[in-house]
Amino acid sequence: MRRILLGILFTILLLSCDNIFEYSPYQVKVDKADKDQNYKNLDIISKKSNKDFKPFKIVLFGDTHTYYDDFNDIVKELNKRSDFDFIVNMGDITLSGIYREFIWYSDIINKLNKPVLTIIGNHDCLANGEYVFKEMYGPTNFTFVYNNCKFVIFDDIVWERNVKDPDFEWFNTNLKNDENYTQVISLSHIQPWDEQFSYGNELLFNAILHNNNVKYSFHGHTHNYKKIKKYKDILGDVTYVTTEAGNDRGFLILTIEENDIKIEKINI
Amino acid sequence: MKHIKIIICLLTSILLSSTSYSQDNIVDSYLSKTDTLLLNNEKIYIPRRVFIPDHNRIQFAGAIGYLSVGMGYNIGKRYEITFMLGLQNKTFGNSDEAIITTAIKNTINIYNPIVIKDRLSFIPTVGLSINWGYTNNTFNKLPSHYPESYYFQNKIHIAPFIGGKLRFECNKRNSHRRAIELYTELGSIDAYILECIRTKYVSIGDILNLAIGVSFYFE
Repeated sequence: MRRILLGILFTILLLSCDNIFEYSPYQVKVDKADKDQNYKNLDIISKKSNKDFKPFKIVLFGDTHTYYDDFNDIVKELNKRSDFDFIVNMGDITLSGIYREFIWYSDIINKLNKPVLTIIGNHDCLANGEYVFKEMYGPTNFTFVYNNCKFVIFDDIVWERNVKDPDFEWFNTNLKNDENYTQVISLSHIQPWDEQFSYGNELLFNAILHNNNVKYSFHGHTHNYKKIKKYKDILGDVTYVTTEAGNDRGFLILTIEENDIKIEKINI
Repeated sequence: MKHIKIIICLLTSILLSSTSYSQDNIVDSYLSKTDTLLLNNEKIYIPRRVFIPDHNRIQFAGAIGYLSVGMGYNIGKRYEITFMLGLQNKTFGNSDEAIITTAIKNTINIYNPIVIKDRLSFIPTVGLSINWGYTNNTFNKLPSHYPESYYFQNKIHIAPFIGGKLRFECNKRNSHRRAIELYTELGSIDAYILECIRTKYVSIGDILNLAIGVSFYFE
């Protein structure tokens, strides 16, 4: 009798574990609830958007990888604040692009009170990660407008795609300020001076931003905070900003004003 | 690579030099590799089929595919090695990308069979599986465009497990099957175990996976 009870208890315990049957760590199998999260969050964001410009605040962090404890603390801290409108994760949400790492990340961001948009990082392209990412969050290149500011999210992963150039044509087309936007802001995971970029691509990236009068370009990848006019001596004065990694337990609050962006770095 | 070659050469020469070539020894060694059978009071020697597998296996889940099949050998009373080939795709396991996994499963029977009833017994097991995943962006050695040690290899995963099996001894007169075993294994893979150790957020319940399978043992 005791053994049977123990057996039943054990079975219940097992069944209570999510995903107890895992067919492969590389599987591209996303539950309906976890699908197209960027789409769903963009819906929420666009409902709050004004037609005319009004200064607003957003939060940026990136490279959360598998620093889940630190990430959880960041989420708790952000849930205490209400002075910002939405959050952008600058990419690298996993370490090896395997199944449960995506699930764990998704579980954590679902605790946030504010909508989050997730950008693809190089680690997320390992194994079948790219396919899982696209199922979970949607297309990796996309744009949206909030309070008459256009945000251009650009997928600039090179090596993990077998040294394929990013889609600069798309980038150039979408950065055009064709509808009198107050600001056009560029966000992508890898900063152009990274070793993944060839020197030609590096200069092209900067030239595209400069030609489209973009003032700020935000990135993750470097695991440290920097605000720098990197190509001042070569072309234009685009300001590049990089975010810290998850284990630095920090985030940036951007105040988007009519002509500028103010950056406040907060560490918990 | 060079070291492996040297080790293999050394092992081969040791093995060869320890073999004695006298006539008696050859007969002895032949007899030791045979089974004997008494037929009309006459002894018949049957050579053992060394390379034919001792068991076949079919498994559901367990991180090596939706379904996997395998064959293997029993070495000694306690140790089994099984070579598995698993598949997951849209039809089997609802994955948008097809994944082929090969695995070398090492299983150890912790105890001798615990008899439950007549021919039915229970055996607890532990083991270690080495899994190779064939998919999009996995590699043993980094492609040449990366700097050295930019990423750790992500093709091979070590997967320890504990489990148990119900063994049913077959009726020998009717078939060449010796036994059928229904087994289940609770395991995880190295990358998940590492996160479980490294973080408070990932608990043991988050990293476990369950496999269920049937093994057929032959005479």
